Amino acid sequence: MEDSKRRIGIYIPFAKSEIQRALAYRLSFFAFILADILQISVAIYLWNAIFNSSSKTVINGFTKIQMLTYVVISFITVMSIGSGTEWVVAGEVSSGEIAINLIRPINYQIRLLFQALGSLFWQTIAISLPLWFVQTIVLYFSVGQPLPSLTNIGLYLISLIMSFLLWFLFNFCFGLMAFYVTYIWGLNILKENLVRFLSGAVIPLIFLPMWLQKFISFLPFGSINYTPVMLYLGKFKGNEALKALGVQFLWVVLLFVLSNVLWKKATKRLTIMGG
Amino acid sequence: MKKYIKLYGRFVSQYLKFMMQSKVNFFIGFFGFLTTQATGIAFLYLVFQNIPSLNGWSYYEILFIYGFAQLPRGIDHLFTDYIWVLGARVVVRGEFDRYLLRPINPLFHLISERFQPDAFGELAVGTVITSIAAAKLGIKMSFGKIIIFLALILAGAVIYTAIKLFFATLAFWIKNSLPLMNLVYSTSDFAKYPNSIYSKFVQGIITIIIPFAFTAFIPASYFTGKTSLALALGGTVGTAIVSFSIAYAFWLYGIKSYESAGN
Repeated sequence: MEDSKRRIGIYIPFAKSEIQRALAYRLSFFAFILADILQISVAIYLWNAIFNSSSKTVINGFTKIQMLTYVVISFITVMSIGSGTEWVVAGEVSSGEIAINLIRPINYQIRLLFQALGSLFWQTIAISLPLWFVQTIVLYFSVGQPLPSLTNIGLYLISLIMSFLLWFLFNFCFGLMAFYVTYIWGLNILKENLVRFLSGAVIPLIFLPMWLQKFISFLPFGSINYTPVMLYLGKFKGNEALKALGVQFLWVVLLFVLSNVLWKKATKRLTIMGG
Repeated sequence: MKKYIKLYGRFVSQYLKFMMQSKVNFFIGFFGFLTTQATGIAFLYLVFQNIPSLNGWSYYEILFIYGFAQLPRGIDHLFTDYIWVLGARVVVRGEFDRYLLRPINPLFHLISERFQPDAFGELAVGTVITSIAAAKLGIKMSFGKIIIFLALILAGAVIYTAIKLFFATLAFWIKNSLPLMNLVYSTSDFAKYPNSIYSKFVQGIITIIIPFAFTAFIPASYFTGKTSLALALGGTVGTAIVSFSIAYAFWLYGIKSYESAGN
């Protein structure tokens, strides 16, 4: 017990330093967040106009209020779980610093995980919670939208933790791509666009044609964003909710295995390059 | 002027050589920016499966505006991408000295640092989408209209450059203006859709304060017959001239305030 406590203790400063870094650059941090919020407001205006132009009050199972909630919660989810792990890994790969991590007496992946936890903590407090309060209160007082049930919030939080792990592992693997590609900045734009679309951050996946939905269900992306948001809205009921969480868990395990395989391969490559 | 064209040709040919070395990177950038816009179009397509029109605009009308919006944006992106770097690090690192020492216009020198082929992704989406939408809407392109079309796109690109330049120039005082530039640039997203879906407040901001409406919605809706030629052409070209004059004057003022790194 004492031993494992000490072992985790080694990594705590990495999480702390991530929070301190965010605090040091908080002005630019908030300017970037505000830019994202502008994009969300475009989406909100659009959905508002879409529902006003529709003869139906429910589109693909979503009322207007549910859709606006979807947009905001989806944004909150994406914001909370992003940690920049891909940049840390890619940066260390291209600078060669990654080699040093092999001789350090700490586990590289766990160190990154703690850095990511630092980001998660700070982003949740600085963006997600305030935004969530604003949206809940605005909807409560303007249209009398009842507060979300504790079950839904609980399911969302469990699902969010798995989204976080999944996205962390995915980005760890992505960062290792820097061994093969020099233009990581461009590749990252491509990745972000595809993931945003396939994870339902652009439009709920239920709007997609059936064949595409089927195809996407074999990919991990829905588990990153769509699952937690649908759980929050209470759209997955009973067994469906459990199944969605199970699928998420499965993806976390699979990506954990994959990231270890890639890491082993990468470190082998390092030795070769070292001569 | 002749000297500058020749110089720019040299710069670009160097860039193309560099690009040829790394074709993979070219395709990564191309598809990166192509998918940014393609997901937006997919969104519109999926939404229009459920509604006949959006605020009185048909699917192809909206598509035309969306596609048109990519063209000025892409042209600006192709030629003046280095202005972002001015905002991010040129001033902080004291690299700006270089631009003041050579016998060419500093702004010209700065933008010729980079020719950004990533922009071809936006230009490809824009061209394809505008063409398809124009054909579906039955927009007839006479010779005169083609000239107007090109003039509007060019003016739109100048507006983009002016807005970027203005906010990048702030770096001469605040050192790193990238977050602010990014924030302002994001408002261009509003201009991709009809103005009427926004509140009056938002409309005012994107038409008057940060005039992105003139890079997309206003000029594009001339071709769909919803804006007069006077407003589309006069407004867009006028805004381009005014905004670039302001930005350039501010840039010159900024250069004067530049303090190099060190002592």
